[in-house]
Amino acid sequence: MSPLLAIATKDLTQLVRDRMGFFFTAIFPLVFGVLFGLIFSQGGGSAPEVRVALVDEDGSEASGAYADRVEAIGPLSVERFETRQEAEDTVRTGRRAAMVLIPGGFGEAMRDPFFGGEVSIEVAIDPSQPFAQGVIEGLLTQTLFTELIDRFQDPGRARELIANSREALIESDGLNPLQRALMGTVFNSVDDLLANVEAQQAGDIPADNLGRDEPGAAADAPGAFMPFEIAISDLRAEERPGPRNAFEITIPQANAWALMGCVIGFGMSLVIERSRGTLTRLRLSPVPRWQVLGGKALGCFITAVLVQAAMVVFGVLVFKVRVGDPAKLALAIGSAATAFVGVMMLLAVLGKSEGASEGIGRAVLLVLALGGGAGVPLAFMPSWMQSAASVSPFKWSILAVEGAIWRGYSWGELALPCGVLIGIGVVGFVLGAALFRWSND
Amino acid sequence: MVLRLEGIVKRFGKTVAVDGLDLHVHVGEVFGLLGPNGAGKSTSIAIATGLLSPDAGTVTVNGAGAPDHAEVRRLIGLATQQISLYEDLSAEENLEFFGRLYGIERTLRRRRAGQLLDRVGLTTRGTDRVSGYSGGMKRRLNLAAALMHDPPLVLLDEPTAGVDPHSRSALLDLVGSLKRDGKTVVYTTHYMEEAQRVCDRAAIIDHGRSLAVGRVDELIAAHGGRSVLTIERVESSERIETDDPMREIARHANAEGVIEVRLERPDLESVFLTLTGRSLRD
Repeated sequence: MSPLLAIATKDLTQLVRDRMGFFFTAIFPLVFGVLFGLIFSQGGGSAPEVRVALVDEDGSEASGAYADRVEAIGPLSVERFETRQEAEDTVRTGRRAAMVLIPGGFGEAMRDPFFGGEVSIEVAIDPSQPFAQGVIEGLLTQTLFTELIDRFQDPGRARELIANSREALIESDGLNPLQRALMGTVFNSVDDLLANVEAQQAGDIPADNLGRDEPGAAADAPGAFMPFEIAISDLRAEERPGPRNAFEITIPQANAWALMGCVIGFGMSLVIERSRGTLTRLRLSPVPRWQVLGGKALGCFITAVLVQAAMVVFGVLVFKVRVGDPAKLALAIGSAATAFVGVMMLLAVLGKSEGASEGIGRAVLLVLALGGGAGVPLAFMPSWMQSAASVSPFKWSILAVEGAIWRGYSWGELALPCGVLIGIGVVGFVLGAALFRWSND
Repeated sequence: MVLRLEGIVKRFGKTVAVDGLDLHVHVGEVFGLLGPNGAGKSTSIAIATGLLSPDAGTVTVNGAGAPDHAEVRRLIGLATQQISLYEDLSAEENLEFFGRLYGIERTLRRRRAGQLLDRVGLTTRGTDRVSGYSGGMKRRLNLAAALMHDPPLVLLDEPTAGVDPHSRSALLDLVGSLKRDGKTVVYTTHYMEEAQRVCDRAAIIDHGRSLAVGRVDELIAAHGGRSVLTIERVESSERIETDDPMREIARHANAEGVIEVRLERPDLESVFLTLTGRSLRD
């Protein structure tokens, strides 16, 4: 056997004998591929959903019907709220990607989409999920057009619309006589046409006698008729909290990735100490076990805090990131650091060899990071994945830091993500300490 | 008695690593724990220092109790067979760190680190990172780290494994100086010439059991066998086993045709081979 083959055989034998290393080298990539394949192929039983808060300020029959249509849109997960403030708060605090508000006057405007009041829908977008804007705008426009088309497909409702418009035309004072006459002729012709359709549907006139235009021609024409306005805002108004620039959104995400590096480094250091014998010296010393582990945890905590603080300071100095409340940011950073200390402790005790530990650390953290929205926004994930993201400290650390930087969290609102993070940290540390062994024997 | 092991038993699965071992180490002596690979030396050391718990038996250090108590562990210094140092730190930083673990105050810590570096011949390299050290330098620093808290009982587990003759000699000299300082040293090795040079008493152990314990000269007398006299003549050679080599030398030295007389006295190695056998071990 050549030396090359001998070395390769030896390495493969070592790999197979290191069960944990073998799992993360050979098995985990398959699990990883299947998991994310399921996510992005919309598998796993549910499609991605954009979570929307819906408010009907109009309260009319038309707005109610439209709200029902919005609720029925597949890609939207709609929760209704009574007031704008409630709905905005859910978006601001990151619980919903957008607010859709049907303002007062919607029903009246829908009676005459041609000359009545403007049919408008207000949408407020979570700035950290800008992709949601396009998705929601498109879906709402489609829904409004569907509503209108349904009305025109019902000749009775369509003639009612034409009658309303004819009344509005008579009362309108912004048109010259020629325009008024022309529109009157159009409405009369459409009304005649609809009357013929009604008669045809009743069996009085053969269908061949109805005139037809080229299908889709009007819709495809440049400057096609657009009777609706969907007013988009992203909660960036001065009086509301919101990021002034993209870095206020990316800094919390960058923080999460920095924490990942910190956790892997410290988790590995404990394993390295064990494999290189220095842990034996620590054990022989009169220092109690909790102090040894606590010292490791403290080192990790300090590093995690410094890394996050450096990231924010860099953002403030270079990218003009605005910190909403430094005290809240300190709490958020401290909570995130606590959570990742717990994660570090757990990871440090799972692998016996340095290779296994590093493999476990990278694999687990990568899944938690991607599953927690540190890479792909959670709104792209299936609903079950969005729910499952709540176990990821990445999700909560991003939310807490965002809350302190630009979401304008109150102390009460900050309590949830920070509480979850501290809980993860405490549970992780206690479990890690309980599972910790001085040696692999 | 500085260290007392009574009826120690330790099993790893079906393997019995230590099988009813009794050891009594006296104050101020260098005690050799000798045996072939796998005899149970390192396991016994680990039990004596509290790194492993025995399945049966008791360990008492300095009459103060078992080494699982923090105050008892303060009495022990261990230089493990594996070099246990932080490679990214300098020698000074390593010693400072280990000193802090024992709560030694800063001034004393620095003074002691300097003294130990001088003692192991590393003063000029004290600020260099350990990762740049040779194997012998690391071994010497490994021993210095075990002495940082000035323990009365020092256990050295194969302290000369893999070092060059210069470092080996320095390490053996250091063991001698520890004895002169009044420390008690337990020294494990399978290099018999080292043990014979530094140990006052020794125990030969195999299969986790003590085969013989006593002063080195007593062990040799009891188990080393007879002296061997080799008489070289012009055309022949003769080996004579004898209990009185001086008389045999006198008888053959002036005989006709003898060109050389060599005497091989029994030593610890012959004791070792007599007691543990000459078969190879896995």
